Amino acid sequence: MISQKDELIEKDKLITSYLSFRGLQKQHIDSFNYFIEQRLEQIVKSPLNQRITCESDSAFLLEYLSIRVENPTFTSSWDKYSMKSLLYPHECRLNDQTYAGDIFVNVRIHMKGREPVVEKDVLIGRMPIMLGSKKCNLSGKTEAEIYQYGECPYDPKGYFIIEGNEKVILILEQIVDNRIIVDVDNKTDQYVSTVQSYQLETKSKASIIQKKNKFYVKSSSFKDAPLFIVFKALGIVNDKEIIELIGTEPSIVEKLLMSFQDSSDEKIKTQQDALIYIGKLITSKFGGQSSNPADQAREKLAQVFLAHVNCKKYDFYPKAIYLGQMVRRLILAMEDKKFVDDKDYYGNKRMRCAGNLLELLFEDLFKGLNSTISAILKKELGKANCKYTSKDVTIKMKEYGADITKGLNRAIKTGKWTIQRFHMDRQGVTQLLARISYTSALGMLTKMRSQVQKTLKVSGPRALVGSQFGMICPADTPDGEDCGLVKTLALLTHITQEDIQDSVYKIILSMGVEDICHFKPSEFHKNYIVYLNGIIVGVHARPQYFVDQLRILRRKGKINEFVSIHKDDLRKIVNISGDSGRLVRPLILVKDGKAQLNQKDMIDFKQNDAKTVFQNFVKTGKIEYLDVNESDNAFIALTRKDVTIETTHLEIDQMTILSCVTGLVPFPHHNQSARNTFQCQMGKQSLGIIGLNTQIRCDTQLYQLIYPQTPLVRTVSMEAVNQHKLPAGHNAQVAVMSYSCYDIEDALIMNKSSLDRGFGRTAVYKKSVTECEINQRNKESRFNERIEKPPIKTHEIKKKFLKKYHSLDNDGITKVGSQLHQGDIYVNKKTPQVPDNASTENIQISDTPSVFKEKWPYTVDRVLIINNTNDGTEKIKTVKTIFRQIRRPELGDKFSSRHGQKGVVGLIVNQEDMPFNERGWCPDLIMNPHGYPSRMTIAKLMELLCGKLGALEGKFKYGTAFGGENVLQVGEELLRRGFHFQGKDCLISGITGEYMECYVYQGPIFYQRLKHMVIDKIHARAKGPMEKLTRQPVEGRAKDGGQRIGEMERDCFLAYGASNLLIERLLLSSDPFNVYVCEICGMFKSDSICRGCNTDKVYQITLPYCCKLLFQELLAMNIKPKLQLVPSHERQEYTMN
Amino acid sequence: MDQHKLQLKEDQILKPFKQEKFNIKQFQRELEINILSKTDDKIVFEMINIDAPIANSLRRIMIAEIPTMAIHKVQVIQNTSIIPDEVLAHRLGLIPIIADPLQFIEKDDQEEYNELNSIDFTLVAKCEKKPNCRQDDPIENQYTNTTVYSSSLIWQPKGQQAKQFANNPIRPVHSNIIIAKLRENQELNLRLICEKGVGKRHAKWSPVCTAFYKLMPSIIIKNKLDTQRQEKLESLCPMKVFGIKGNQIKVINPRNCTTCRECIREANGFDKDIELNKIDNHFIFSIESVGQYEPKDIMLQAIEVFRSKVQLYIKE
Repeated sequence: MISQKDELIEKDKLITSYLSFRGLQKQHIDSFNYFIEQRLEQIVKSPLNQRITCESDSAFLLEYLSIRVENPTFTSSWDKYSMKSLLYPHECRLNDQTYAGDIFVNVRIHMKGREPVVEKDVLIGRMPIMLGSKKCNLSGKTEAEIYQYGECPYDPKGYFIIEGNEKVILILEQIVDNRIIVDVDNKTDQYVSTVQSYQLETKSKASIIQKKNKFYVKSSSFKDAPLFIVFKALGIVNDKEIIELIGTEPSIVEKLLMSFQDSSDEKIKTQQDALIYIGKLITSKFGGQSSNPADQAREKLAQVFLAHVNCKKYDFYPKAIYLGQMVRRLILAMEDKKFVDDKDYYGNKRMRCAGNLLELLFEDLFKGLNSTISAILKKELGKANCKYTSKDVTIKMKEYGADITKGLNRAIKTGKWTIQRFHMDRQGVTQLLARISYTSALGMLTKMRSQVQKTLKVSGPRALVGSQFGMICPADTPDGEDCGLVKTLALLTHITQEDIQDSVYKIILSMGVEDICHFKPSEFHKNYIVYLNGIIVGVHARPQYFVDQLRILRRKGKINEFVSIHKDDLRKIVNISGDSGRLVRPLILVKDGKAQLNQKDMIDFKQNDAKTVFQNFVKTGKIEYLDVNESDNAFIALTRKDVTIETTHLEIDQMTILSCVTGLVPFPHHNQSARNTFQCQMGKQSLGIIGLNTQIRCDTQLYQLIYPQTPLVRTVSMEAVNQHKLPAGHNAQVAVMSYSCYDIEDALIMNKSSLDRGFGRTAVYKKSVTECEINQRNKESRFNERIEKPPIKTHEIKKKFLKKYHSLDNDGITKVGSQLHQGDIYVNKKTPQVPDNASTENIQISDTPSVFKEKWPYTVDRVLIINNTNDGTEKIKTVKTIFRQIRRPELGDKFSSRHGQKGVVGLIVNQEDMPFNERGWCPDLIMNPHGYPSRMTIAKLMELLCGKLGALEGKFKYGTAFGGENVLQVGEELLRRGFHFQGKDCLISGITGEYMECYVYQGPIFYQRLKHMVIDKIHARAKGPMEKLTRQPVEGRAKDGGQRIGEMERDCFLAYGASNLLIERLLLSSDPFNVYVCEICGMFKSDSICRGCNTDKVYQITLPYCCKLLFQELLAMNIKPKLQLVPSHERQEYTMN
Repeated sequence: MDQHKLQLKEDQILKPFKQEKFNIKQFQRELEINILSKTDDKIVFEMINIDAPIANSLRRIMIAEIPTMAIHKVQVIQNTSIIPDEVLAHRLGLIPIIADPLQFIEKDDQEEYNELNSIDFTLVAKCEKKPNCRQDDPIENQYTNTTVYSSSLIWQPKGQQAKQFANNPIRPVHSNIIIAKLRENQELNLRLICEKGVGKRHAKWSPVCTAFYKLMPSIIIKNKLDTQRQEKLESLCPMKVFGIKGNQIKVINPRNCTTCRECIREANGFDKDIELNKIDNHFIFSIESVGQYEPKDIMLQAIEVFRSKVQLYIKE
């Protein structure tokens, strides 16, 4: 009999089921789908965008009827014929194409003297399509079909392909819109109540500030206005009514006293007076509107001020109520600190995904198109004999629609988001999808960036706060400047999309919420005020009952499952939110101390498709989604044992508070937290396989572990996201002991035989692109760049010269399988020079071959020839060459376990020198035990023990967070197999052949090879290239630069007294220069005579070239640096003086 | 303490201080070798009255200095499989080859390949559709060479080699090692050249999977135990080293001991009663052959190499 208190058997299936239909990137895909399906239509049909008029022809009207985006297609043209075919992501990666679908609009065009014409399917650009979205050609395809299209079934999707590059739009964390937030102002140290309004078209900010105990309204549209005047402008003329809106408690009234005076001082009695007063404060004037300040003020108040609060026919009462609430919150906060809102509280944050950001961008570009069209029409239709037809208009639309395509592509490609309407100019919105390991790609799709500036030295936004529990991984964040600003979603977190609010609104009203406008202001504060998405809807007398009933309706599926219902007893508010960007996570419901999901429900997994089971549980009210705000009303038990009568919810599993990247760590709950954070960074650098289609991909750089192994000690979350199928590392046999002294500072000792047998072997693929372009000056085909066959041996051409052409085939492109060394030519490209007079027959053709630059040889893996002529680019042919190098671990290569313990290879030891145990076991790798005490990675010890047993039993062991194997039992099991219960063995030294005096902890630990390899970093030079200007050695490995003796190094030489060394390093090996100097005038001379001074007392001295340069530059500025020469034998005395 | 006993404690091993000098006469007189078990690829024997340095030298030589033949050069004529050339060559190199290395000489860098220093193999495999196959058959039945095994390596005798190795043709030790997997129209066409080498250079030349030894345990029950504790001790040892015979607990299977040290663990309460020792001149050797040699030949070879090394040392 299974009791209520026992954890569910096979509850991992719940997580797997959830992730199988959701994946880790549903937030991106949902957001994009919502944008394509809902928002596009809304944008096009919004009153501001729907119509294009023409200033020169008032009869002209263009009206958008509908918009749609098609699946990605590809148009191949041949002569006059063109054919459309479906485009698949893999082709895009190979061909440097953009995975985009056509955007079509239907428009109705009214023209003078003609019947309105409906033009259907006008192409206005191409929309990049997110992989895995509804518009993606891969959606709904079976696994077999996915293989056919060259895709990996485990690929996370949720990214875009722009010109062959995979780009992710990172999730952006922002402060919530349309909510009152009372906070302390950094500058004045006083409380401020702020609202950021965001309504489809307008974005504005309004806040209540204090100056000398008076309240002012600070807004983006007018200068600071006294509070009471604003109230009066909003139509509340009576001071008593104003106070009633804010609150009649004596303490509140007292705070308001000072502000009373303002309106009487300014002699403002009527609404009109107030409007005029505010009209004068308006900063930016509306163009083309009436100059009457009162009308302007009315317009501003209606449209910009508190824009999210609806205002019908200039009825400002709802805005006045809202303003009253803002003031009330501020005053309450002044009295009691607990009313102050926490900006870092996660309920006050909203996540913006790909769809939201594209929406802003698209609207901007769409408006741009409309205004361009409008400008063209003004010009064209203004002409006297205009023959413009509706067809011509659509042709123009198609032509300028290319700007939309370009704009979208450029923004996603560069990550620069420039939205003119909101004066937004943001950098780094998108990033290239990191394909170093599968984990890195997953991590990237769950990554969130905060908007807080990196340079700001505040800890608040970086801190891990309680409200992030379960939503954000506590471990997965970079260290350094981005620490805490870049976060990762936890395994089960979802980001909501906007819900169509009408249904919720109606339901709320039918449940006893009374419209606030029907209430006397004095009555508000006795009841709970109900907000829907930040807008006051009404009041309710029995909030608990209301909230309970509403939640029941949600569980029954009458309202959207993601709508959050939050009761704030402190502020006497009920918040109902259905807006987008909230973080939600699923939890099991608990009623009367009993979990609603029980063992018998797990049978569903046997009967139904795993994908649907989880959703069924949600539909039947066994599992529900809670957002951060609503979690405040919940009492969530971690385990079934913790469930009491007060409990309202139960965690699905504790491990779900971690992200998929942290999920790689076995037993993370036994590690010092910083170690898990380090592993999260290193897991993204570990080499493994990135997908099943690696062999046909053509990334600029791609690493592939040749013999990857699945870890012996796994976690449930790894399996839920397929990380065990695309692993990155080896189960290395590790002995924790000291060996030689090449293992200090975390260095590792490796077994040479293990390396011989393939341990850590990695293939590195590098891509190089050669493009043949059309000549810009003359587009005749004979001036095009071309690839020619290599020269053949003749009398003039010597064998030595031909050596660099050795790998070329007859087509002038390198042969697959040939080995390339530095200086070899792999594509023999020629560029014809256009002569000044094009008639001449002798065209000069210059050599512009692609020369292999890597220092170490690579093998040619593949050659791709792409003809992308119909892309509108100037290229005629692109040759992509992919080189491969197989790398065996060598001294200095970086390895790491899954516990943030990285180290480089310090020594490679022959197997016969390695220690061995009484069973013939021999380590692959030796790790120094000093790595343990300060790092406190107990989990690594546990991993070893479990791995050892797993290897003996032939079973995978589990080290799932907050669960996993019981180490005591593992020890006992090991003992039963004749091993020491703590995993320590007797080892025999391979060098002396004697038993070691201590017992050694040994067993398998999963080790990752990291991408940092010595061969990529090794650098030395004696002589080499110099900087042109200063004649000093150039900088950087790529340019074969020198090693800098910096200031601190110089200080060391000085302190040591190594002055000759100093001269050698800073002068002789750098930029020595011989120059003649005249003893009398102290100036540089070109030879040994100074004609100015008429003397031959001119001496040659050696000085740094850059010093000479400085003197000459000073001379150019009319400053004369005079050199005083002292005979070398007198130099000593001179310096003494 | 006994001169020849290592005493195992719970947290460390106590070693005796040795003053004895190596005496060749005594060594010749006292050395004793018994074969404990022997199969085709593994031999276990004990050597008594031998010192660790000598035993270890033999072990090291077995791993690193006994020559074998292994594929060292691969000429890739065609490889359209999914395995890159370098990886394929690496995989081929690790295939053990039966060929008496004594019949060959190690190739010098400048030397050309000839019948004395090399063996040639070819590997030709193409995956093609079989005639009369059905769509729903497993892929192996539809195509030829879906998996290329080491049995596809074909020896190409050079010069006198065919005659020389007529009784024991040169071939891979195992015929079922997977080299590569092919799919339709993928092709392998390789020429492989074996060279003679030693494990020191690359592990592929090592003739042993592993060669190791352990010391013979000597377990002493110091104190008399009552029946209850006797039974407890008997069941304590996972390898059943102890047994009760006629009301008295005895060490019945000392060779079973895996040094798990459960019997001397303080928590079990027998640490005062039991002494766990190792006899430091009683070596139990295990040699697991890869297959080129018989296990016992590896030992003989090792002794041979050892002797020549000693002679070299004496000469110098």
